[in-house]
Amino acid sequence: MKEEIRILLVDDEKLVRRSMEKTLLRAGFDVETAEDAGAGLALFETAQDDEPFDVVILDLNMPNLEGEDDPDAGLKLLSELLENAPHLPVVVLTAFDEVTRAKEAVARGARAYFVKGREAGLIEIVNDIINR
Amino acid sequence: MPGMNQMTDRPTILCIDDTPEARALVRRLLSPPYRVLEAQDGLQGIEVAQETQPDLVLVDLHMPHLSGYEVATRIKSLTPQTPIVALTADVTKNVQERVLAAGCDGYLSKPIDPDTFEEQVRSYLAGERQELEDESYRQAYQQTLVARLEHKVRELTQALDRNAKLYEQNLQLLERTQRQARLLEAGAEVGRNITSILDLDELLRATVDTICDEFGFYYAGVFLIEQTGKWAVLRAGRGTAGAAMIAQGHKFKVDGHSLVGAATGQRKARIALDAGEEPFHFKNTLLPDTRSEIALPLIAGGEVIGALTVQSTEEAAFTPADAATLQALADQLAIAINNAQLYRQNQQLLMQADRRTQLLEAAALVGREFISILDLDELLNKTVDIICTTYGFYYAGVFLVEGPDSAEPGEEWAVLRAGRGAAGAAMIAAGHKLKVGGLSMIGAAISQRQARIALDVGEEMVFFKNPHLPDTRSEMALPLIVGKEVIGALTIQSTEEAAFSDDDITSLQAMADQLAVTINNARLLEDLEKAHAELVRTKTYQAIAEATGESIHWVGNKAAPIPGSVARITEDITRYLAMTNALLAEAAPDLREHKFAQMLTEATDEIANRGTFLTDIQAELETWPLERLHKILSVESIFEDLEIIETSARSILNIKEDLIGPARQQKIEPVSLPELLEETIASMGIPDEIVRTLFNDDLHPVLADRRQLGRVFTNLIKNGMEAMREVKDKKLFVWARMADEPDLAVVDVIDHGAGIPPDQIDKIWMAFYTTKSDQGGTGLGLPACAQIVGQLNGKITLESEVGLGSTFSVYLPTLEDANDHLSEERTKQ
Repeated sequence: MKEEIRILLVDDEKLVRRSMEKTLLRAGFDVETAEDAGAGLALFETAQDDEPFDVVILDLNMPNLEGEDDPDAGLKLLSELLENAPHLPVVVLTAFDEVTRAKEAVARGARAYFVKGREAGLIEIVNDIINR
Repeated sequence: MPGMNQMTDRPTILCIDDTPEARALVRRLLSPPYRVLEAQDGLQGIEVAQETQPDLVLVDLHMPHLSGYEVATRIKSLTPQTPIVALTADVTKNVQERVLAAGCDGYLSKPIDPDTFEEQVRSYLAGERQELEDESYRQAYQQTLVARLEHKVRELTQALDRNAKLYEQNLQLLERTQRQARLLEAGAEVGRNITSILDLDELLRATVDTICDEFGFYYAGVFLIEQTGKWAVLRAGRGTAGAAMIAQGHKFKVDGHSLVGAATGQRKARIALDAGEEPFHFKNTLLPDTRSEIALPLIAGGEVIGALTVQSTEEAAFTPADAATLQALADQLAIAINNAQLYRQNQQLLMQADRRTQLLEAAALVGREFISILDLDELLNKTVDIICTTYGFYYAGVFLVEGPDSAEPGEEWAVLRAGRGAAGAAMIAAGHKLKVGGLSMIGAAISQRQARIALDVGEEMVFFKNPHLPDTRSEMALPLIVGKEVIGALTIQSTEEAAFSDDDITSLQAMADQLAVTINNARLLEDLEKAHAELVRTKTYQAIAEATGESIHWVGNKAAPIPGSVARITEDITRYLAMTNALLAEAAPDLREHKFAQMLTEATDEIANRGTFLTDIQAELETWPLERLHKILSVESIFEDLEIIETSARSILNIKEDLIGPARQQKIEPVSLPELLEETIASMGIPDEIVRTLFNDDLHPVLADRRQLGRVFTNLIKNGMEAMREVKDKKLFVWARMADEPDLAVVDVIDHGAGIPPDQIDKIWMAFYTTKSDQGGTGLGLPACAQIVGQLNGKITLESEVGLGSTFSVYLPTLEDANDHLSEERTKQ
């Protein structure tokens, strides 16, 4: 039986990552973080058998699976994750001026997108996903 | 004495006869039994007889010069023993007596009888002798001999006489020949001299001097026929007399009565003697001692070009041989004169060619100047200045055609747009313009599309009455044509009459063509500049918009955590207050009166006023176990969030540096490159194994603003790293050393990344140009670098090859330079 909702947060911007991590922790979620797609995928796969993540939150623009800066790194990770777990809720993070790409991610199977900034909104999104 | 002949086998017989046939007959009849010697005349016979002492002499009586009688007499006196027999066809009376009287021993008549001849000879050899019976023949013979001798002596004396005369003649001939040889030699000398002289005046002077010096003549002068062909004018004369005559303009009419005139008219040498055949008087007061004169025509290429006069103080000094020699000299002189004239013409042609070259060079200069000037007014003003200064003309002006005026539809005017000097300025101020197609030269040049030339007394009926240009004596108007359009005209004016040569017109028209094209270019450029300015404005706005977007995106990213942190801090403070308030509610009443409690109560009210009720929060917190409370609330968390806010804010402030960094107040100071580069690289957090540095020992500190220069290197290194984004084994090399140029240091930042395509190399220095807008590049980094380095009096160069990498080289002035400068300043003080 699971006591806490487990969330994987993947973002290369350290401050953004830490800030969101804190926000999620304070909201009562069990949060693990990764700074690029490769690390994120590794964490996800490790946890999959034992304590799978309930929600994955990932940035679109970050180092890809090969460790190189890639504006599509998030999209690629999204595809990998959905291949492993087709029903996994994924929230993509985006800057306010890159919403188009975030919407594309949703079209590819992400559950929602979140424009970085007001982090209370992220909690709402996550709660929505869990309660549904 | 028969001597040796008696010892020989055969007797020797000498036959003296002038006819070969007679001698041959004797030889055939007597040889071989006898040895026959022959002599063809008397003298030879005497010699042979004396030498050989023959056994018998046969002598013909009738021989030239010395007769047989005389030969017999002589041989008898030399060898009395030798028998002499006369052979003769003479049948005159008493010939036998006369033969014997002359000393002969016998007589045989001719023709010889072959049947009896040998027998007769044998009998004479055997000693037969005929005796002269009458002695009177001997006397008669002697008288004849004496008479002949007398005659011979007389003949001889006459011959001697003739010889003496001949001798004298020979001497004269010899002398004449020698003189002629000497003249020829002198002539050759003159020839050699004169053919090597190419300056005409010098040639003529040298010629008259050489003729007088070498030949010893009194005077020599050279006349040349002037252009009309009517007069032979003295061009060179010996000594002061010659100089005086040249000064007087001494000349003779060609084909006139003068000696020179006759020589030129008749194309042959004329000789005048004081008392000679020519009716001529030597009355030239400048040449008082002349007693004879020769005038020789100078003929070159079949044409008489002048005459040479040579004068002597001796009467009849000129022989026909002299005339021939001098004529040879004159011919040579004529050729030399011709050469000199050709040479002079060549020189003139060369000078003309030189001038043409000069003009073309000037035109080229004008062309070059034109090309570099694109401001129309500057171009036109410079043009008129160059035309006047380079060509030395009085005035130049440029008219440009302006479109039909609304006030005068259908009429075009050429308006003066540039004019030389004060005159030009005054006319421009007065709005000087000329009607296209009008009577003015400018108007005509434009409408007729061709150069117009006006001379003061020329074909064009033009009067130079412009009060601004009072000294104009000739004027040229050249149309300015571009393609099919005449855009204006150039006027050029000179103070000289007929100042414009064909060459001038050609080169000036070439220049005018160039000018027309350039004016057109300048006009096109004006249009282009307007269009360009519009484009730049549009592009700038576009670029600013783009850059602003980039900046906002970047700032937005950096600012993203701030609201979260602020929200958490607010929540944390509220929660701490709520907890404090909860405890306070439980406290003793006196404690609630404490001033701290009052502060806390007031804070609770303020928060309540903001819509948050601490009691609600308190209730929520009560439900959580301590472990959970620890997770969500700590002072450490508050400080962490404050730090997040501070770091984000600093990042945001940093982007400002890219935008306004170069404009910031500079603080120039000596900067150690190794130190600065180490710091910069360390601050960028690039692993040591990627960046390698090399700093040469001789490196001087550079003069720079430390912070700005640091940003330059940060940007360049960042660029290099970004260029190697796709490269697995990243290596960045930073090398600082002294440059080849003095007082400059250079820092190379070398990557082996993607390289920059040639078509992008120039663009990278443009503001807002970026190939990585999606990676947060603002397109401001490199332009900012270039601007900063430029402000430091340095430069940045780039070498790049696609696939191999790029090298950015930053050149910066070093301190040593500044030290010199400072010490100089101090010295001045």
